[in-house]
Amino acid sequence: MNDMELDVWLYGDLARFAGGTSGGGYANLTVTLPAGSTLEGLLDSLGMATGERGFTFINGNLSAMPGIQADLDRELKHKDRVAFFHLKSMWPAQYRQGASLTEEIDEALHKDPEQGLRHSWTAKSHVNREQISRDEQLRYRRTLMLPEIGESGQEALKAASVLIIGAGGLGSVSSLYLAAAGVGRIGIVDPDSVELSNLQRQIAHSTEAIGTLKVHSARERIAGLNPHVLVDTFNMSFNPDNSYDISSDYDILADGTDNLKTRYLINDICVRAGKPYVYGAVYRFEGQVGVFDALKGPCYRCLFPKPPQEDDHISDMAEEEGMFSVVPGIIGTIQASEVIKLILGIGNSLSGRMLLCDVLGMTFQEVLLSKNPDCLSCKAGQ
Amino acid sequence: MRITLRVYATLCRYIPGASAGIPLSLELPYGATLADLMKKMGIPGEEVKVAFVNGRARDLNHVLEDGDEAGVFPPVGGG
Amino acid sequence: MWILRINMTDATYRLEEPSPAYKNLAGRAMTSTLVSDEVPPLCHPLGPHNKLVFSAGIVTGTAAPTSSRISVGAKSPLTGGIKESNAGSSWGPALARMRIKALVVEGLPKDKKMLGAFLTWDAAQDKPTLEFFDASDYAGRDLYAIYPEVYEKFGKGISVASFGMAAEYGYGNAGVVFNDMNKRPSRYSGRGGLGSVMASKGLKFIVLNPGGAPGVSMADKALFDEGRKKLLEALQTHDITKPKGALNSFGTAVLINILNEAGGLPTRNFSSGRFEGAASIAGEAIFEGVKERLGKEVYNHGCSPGCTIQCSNTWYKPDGTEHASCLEYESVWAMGANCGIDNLDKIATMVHLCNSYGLDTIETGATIGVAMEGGLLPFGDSGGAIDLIHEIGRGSSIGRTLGGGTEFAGKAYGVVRVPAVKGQGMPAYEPRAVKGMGITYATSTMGADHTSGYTIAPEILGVMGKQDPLSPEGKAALSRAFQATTAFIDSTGHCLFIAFAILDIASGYQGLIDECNGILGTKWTADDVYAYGAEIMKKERAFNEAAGIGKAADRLPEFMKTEPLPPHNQVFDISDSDLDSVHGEM
Ligand code: SF4
Ligand SMILES: [Zn+2]
Repeated sequence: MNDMELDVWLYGDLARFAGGTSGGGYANLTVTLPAGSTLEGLLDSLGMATGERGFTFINGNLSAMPGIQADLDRELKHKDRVAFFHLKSMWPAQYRQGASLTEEIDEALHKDPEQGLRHSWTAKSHVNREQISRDEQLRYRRTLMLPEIGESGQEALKAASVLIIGAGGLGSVSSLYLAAAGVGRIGIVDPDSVELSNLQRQIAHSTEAIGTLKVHSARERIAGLNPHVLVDTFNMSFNPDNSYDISSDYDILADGTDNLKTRYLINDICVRAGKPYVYGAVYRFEGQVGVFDALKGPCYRCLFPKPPQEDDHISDMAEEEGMFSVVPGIIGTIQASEVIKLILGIGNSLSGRMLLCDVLGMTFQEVLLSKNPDCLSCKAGQ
Repeated sequence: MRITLRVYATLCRYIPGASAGIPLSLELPYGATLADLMKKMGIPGEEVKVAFVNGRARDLNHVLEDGDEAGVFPPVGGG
Repeated sequence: MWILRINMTDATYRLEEPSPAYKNLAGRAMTSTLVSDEVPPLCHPLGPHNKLVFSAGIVTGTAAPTSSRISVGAKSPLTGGIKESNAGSSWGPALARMRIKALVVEGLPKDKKMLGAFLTWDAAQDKPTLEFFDASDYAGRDLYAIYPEVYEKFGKGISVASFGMAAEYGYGNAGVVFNDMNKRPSRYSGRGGLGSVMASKGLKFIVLNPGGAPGVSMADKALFDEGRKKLLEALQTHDITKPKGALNSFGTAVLINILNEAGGLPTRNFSSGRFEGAASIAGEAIFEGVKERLGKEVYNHGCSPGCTIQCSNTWYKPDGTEHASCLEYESVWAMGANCGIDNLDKIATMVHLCNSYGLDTIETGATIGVAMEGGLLPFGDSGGAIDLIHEIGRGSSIGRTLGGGTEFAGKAYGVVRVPAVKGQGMPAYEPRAVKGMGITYATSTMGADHTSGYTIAPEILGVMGKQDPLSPEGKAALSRAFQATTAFIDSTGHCLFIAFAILDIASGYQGLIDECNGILGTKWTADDVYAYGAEIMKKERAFNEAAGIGKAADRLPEFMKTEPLPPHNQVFDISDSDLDSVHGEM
């Protein structure tokens, strides 16, 4: 069979499917496929799920928009120009009235009761987003074989969003495992740049990344591991002014911060929004991990009602007292598994329990916790 | 009565030779509470912490019994 | 409520009770009605009988989201017809809070001396009060230089309306400028040469300080609040308007790549629908470019107080200092694709210069495109284009020719391919590729105007369902519905970008109507929206007809009907009778 060449344009964050680094908000590449390949075949070869894209054009003719994807079976021709837009792109009805369409979408629009004039396909587009592509079928094969998860579980993971606060030791590990497992969207918040002394434990960053933003370095690593994951980066500290705006778009918040103040903030935001807070914290050879879900059990303030005073001997920073390399790895991995279980609704979560891990003695102590009836955060959250 | 105690993280500093998670065995009079235990170990009352007995978090008025496994841990801040 | 009249013939002012017929009018409805009622259609736009009218929208000055628009109206020096052009600025809310329904500038000064007007609230008298001041020191200067001086002179809490040097020359292309949230002279009622009308009156500034003013009165505050919340909720959930949504992330320039792919991005003076440099000047490229230069992701800001959509961007120089704000879709297209320029830094310089001189970016880019076609400079010559904007700003003889606008430049350089309707240069949608937009360009009372047909009521959409919107008649009917609903939104004072959310989220649309009913004490339903908008269009149309701009002017330039446009190689083939049905069947 003959091969054909396609002129493919990927806009916005879809540029990541071009492979390699591409800047400037788009990528243009030539894709060679066997003659007779369909648009779906092109998507597969790019590793892009159909729901990742919004408006799509074939030779300047609109062929798909979010929720109306009439073009999957369309046979492409040699030298066709195919352009895919991200879901944050727009083309309102008044600006597209009377534009050129492919026959398939023309037909589909005529069948649509609103003729595609409204933008209310946004809701429908989410359904599409959750479907997983052939590349993903293979990628997640070992997961799909688990009856507890299966295809519906994998789709749930893809539809989920997790915000990781801190791209240090804990965040490095939890973000990579969540990405590997196929969580659809991961947000990472961190104000800092990568330093040499971070690398003994912060495995999402590499030696070449020293001096670059941690959020970018983590994003690159994640993109390399699993390009199907959308990564939002917030190069800033998570503080009372921005915490609500940043977190409002995510289902679950995971802790990777290096100080107590931010933990109280994450807790309070989660209690207020009714979201689970997957807690993790480390100290020298020890770690703590748990799930605070105020709707079902205690919150962080139920345990530790008030932030410690300045003179309490509580270590905020890993640097001050040293840190055993693998401790964040152990705790971060447990956090990732808790996040995944919460998304899937399987197993027993750590809600209402805290695990204390001591690596030198290699013991795990489980402590059962209960809701504190006087907790101010829980009261305010109701 | 005999109690075992585990202390964690920064609280270890109050007990010479203690190491996180390693059980210490100690004698207490019958009827002693968790607060008494903290006092005996020299852990200040105002220090932020959670105490637990036999794997369940308890408040400081909890009365201990012979053979109880108690523990105490503070919040830690690293990540 | 008052109508404030400033008479520049003798530098006096007076406050009037508005006539009862004006009770529910605001924004575009108010400016167009007042111009129709009081301006002789055949007067010279820069002569003594034209009037410049400012009116904030029905809900402007309240807590309604994204509602700080100010409408400016007059007979246009560019089109010779009626004009309404609106901008987002703190100026509109300030006027509304002083309970001024319309501010009318009339008459003509005897000498060329420039004055300013400083408007404050007189608490003792419980009404606005105005003082004139000598503004001759500010004439002939860069707006970026004089705005800080005005802020210095009048202190905190002020809003400033003005015009630049372009208007002082009386160009057809000169806007009225308002301050943005950072006191920049960057928010324009740009289209149609209204700045020149203001300059002809010798009123260099209208400075407002609403401190102490009572604010907008409401017939039913509870109903208003209910409406406001519904609309806010819709805006915050819609993918286009929500925080970090399409507009907040990429700004309106997110349309560049889309229109380019659709073959509808007018390129090199409307000779092609596709620009090979589009991707490097699009909203996505702006976002990435800023991220690279500042080392962080920057989301857009609001042009005016209370905007929850926040679509306005800023471009930065390589060293991280500010270069220009704001790079809108139309501006980037006009300076970029339309002139064959693919460099964002050059485009930013051009946009910034337009703001400095007081020029409309769309008209300027369209004019330079025609000049390039006419052989004055080659397409893609960004240095030459920048020089030309300086010429326009300095008022040299070439500059004056180009300051007259697209059509005027076409005549001066013997160009046939002149993209204009009713004398106004076309914005960034190629009618041969996006035919519905072509209908709106042809039939809008404003001349070629993309915002004329911006939104549509969901109810009307239901009615439309019977007509095939993809057929020519359907397209004309849709355009009519779009134009009428848009005229209504222009009157509420909401920014047109709420259109996405109210079209798709029914409760948001209801919220808009509730807000208006809450303020005015009316009992409007969805049907009244269309009727209100249609009424405005009829008045505007009648004014134009009396000014000699009738049916025959509701046409696109001839070349669009004969020259096929690549890449689709189509011509504009909507029949004249379909075009005529837009107004004919209203
Ligand atoms: S949406 Fe954009 S143009 Fe409209 S009011 Fe907000 S910032 Fe201004
Ligand atoms: Zn609590």
